[in-house]
Amino acid sequence: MKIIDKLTPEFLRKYDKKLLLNNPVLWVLKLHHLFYFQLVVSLCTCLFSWAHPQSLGNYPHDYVITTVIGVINILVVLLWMFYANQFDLRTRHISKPRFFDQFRVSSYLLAGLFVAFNALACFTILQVNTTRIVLPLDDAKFQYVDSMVTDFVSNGDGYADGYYLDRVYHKETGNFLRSDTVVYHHDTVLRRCAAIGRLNEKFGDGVRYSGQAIYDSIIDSTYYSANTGRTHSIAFYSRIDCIDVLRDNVSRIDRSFRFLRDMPKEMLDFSWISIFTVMLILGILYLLIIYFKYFGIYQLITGVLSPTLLFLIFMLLAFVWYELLHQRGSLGAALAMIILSILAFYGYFNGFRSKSTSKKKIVLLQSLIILAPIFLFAFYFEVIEGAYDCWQYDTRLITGTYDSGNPIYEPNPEYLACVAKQNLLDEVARWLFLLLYVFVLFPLHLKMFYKHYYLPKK
Amino acid sequence: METEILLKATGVGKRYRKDGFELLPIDVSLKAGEVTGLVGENGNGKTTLLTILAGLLHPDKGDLNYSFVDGLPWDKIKMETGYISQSLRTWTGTVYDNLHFNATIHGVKGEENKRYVDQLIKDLGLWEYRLLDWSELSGGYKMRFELAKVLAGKPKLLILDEPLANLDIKAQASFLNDLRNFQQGIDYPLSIIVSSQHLYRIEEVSDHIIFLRKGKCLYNGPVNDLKGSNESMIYELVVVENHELLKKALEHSLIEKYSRDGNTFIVYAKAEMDASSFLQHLIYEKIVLQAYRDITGSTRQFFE
Repeated sequence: MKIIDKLTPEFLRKYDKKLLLNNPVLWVLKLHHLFYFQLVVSLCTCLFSWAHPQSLGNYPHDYVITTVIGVINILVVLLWMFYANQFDLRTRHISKPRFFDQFRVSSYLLAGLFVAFNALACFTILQVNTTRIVLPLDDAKFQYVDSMVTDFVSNGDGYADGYYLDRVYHKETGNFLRSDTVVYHHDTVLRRCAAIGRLNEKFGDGVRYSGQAIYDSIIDSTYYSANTGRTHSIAFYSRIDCIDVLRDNVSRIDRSFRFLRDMPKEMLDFSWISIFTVMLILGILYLLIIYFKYFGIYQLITGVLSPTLLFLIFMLLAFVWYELLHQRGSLGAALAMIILSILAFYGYFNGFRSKSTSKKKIVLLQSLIILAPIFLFAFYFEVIEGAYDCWQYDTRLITGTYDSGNPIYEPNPEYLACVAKQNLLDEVARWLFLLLYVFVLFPLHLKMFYKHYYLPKK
Repeated sequence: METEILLKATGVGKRYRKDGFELLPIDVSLKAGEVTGLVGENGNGKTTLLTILAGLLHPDKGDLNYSFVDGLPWDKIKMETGYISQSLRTWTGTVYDNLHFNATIHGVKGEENKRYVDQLIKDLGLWEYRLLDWSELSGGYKMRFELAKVLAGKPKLLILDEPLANLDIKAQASFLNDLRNFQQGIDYPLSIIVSSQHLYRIEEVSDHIIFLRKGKCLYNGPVNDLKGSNESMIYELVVVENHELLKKALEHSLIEKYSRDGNTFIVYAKAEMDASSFLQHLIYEKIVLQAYRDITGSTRQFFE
């Protein structure tokens, strides 16, 4: 931990000392260190977000940002957890041990929120940055340019060469007839090329073409052979290359527009997933630290890794069950969960057989505090909610009439009632989980800690 | 003025089902400003008694009454009780931070904390080691820092289980003397109970002594009363050579009996044969002594 001391600035050291002499609970949790280093990490990762997207063709993928932010944050939080676990207030016999435990749990939640905030901040910067790059174009202008490129591609070689065979309406037959007149559209083509060229010059990546170069390439099929040294016979393909590059550039711009458009939704999804993932990782890390402190390596393996592995196996089975076999909310899944839960608990008891009963209970409860919500939520989403899947169209009420081979589904008359029931179930389940956690599991855990550390052993 | 009794244990006893060992009911009174020594051979119930007094072990019988609390609120009792076990736990962080921390969680805050901890580590001769890590300290200093950490919390009861076990002879003497001096220098009531095999060291600093053998209390009273409780004088001799000559010397009308364990002899003499006359007698008989001690006022006489 000396490295942390070296990295700590003077003002933080002074504050740390002040807390040490005045507020031991805050001092021991090291939230000030977490906040400071998380801020530094946030600045670094935000700087990365700000500096990375140099052009539309090079803006970072979500996964890159997620990985970078995730890894750095987890490292910081991991360090903090070890640092904050140096002093165990329970063994020091403080006057309000329960208060401290509540504080400690809150601090882990806070750590998770810091990480989520960090991710949000970085993504916001990424959004602002992309907006800055794309800002000169509005969506309508982009659509216009996009349609022009599509025109060039879809109207064939003749159109691209600056002319096309005109079609005339024959009044007598009512048909369109092909005219022999070649209509040149130099002005139109030139204007379109200039627009595409400006866009391409500004945002295009790799091979760039000016408006004039695009125009030249389109009206003169020898342009490429002259400029690239290729033979006339492959000039056509060169032109196709040019169009391909243009399309690539346009599609990049299109992606960036979509990125900005979908950002709020993605952000929301990401933040939930990140908070959940971070909490899960923090929970497992916390367990590792606590177990290691209590028992040592053997118990660490048997006590933590086996149920954790079982949990991961369960997740894998669930994935296979739901995603590959397309089964939802079935009795089999519930049974699998129950069996795996029993196995997990068996692992706990088996692992701790040689040690103090009191500690076993504490470790079990400590783990339950973290694992129970995960199991409960999984159980809720996959089993209870599955039983109330509400279908807007009832496949059992197919009328038997078909239009172009597609069945017509009858609307499910119970849909709205089902949704209402599902919403009610959602609310009840949420409150039930919350109440169970707040009024049963957590107090029980605190009571056992108190019993272990404060009451005389029998 | 009557001394305040901080802990009164009445008839506390404990039986272990596994090995059948039983600590027979014992009364213990720990008074403010006093040091109580707890002596006895290994496995005779010293640690059991201390852990009961510290609130770590539930007694099967008897009552505990801590004067500084009403009833048995264990969190408050443990706040006021400092317990140092035989095996020390590893510390993390600097020892200085640990001491400040322990003082703060026991309500000694701000500048007072700083002053108090600095004074404490000076009193215990630890000033130059305060910035070291736990791993950098020798066994003796670890014990001293453990003591400092417990004292930083200003406990009313200090319970030490075999603190001298890993200390050298010089450190043993200074540890107990520093502890005694600290107790006499503070402005709050503190009672100390300390167990050890080094009974002479313990007896030197103790006001009160408890001797346990096989879970039974053989003596429980002031150290000074030990001498008065014996009608005989009791001497311990260590003689390496010529045991026959010694045996002949011990055939004296004022010598009641003696027992032998290797080179060590415990001699019971009539009250008329005080320490100096007994020593003169041995010198007259040309006995070469390795060691000699008057144990009339010591619990040494209870060892088998």
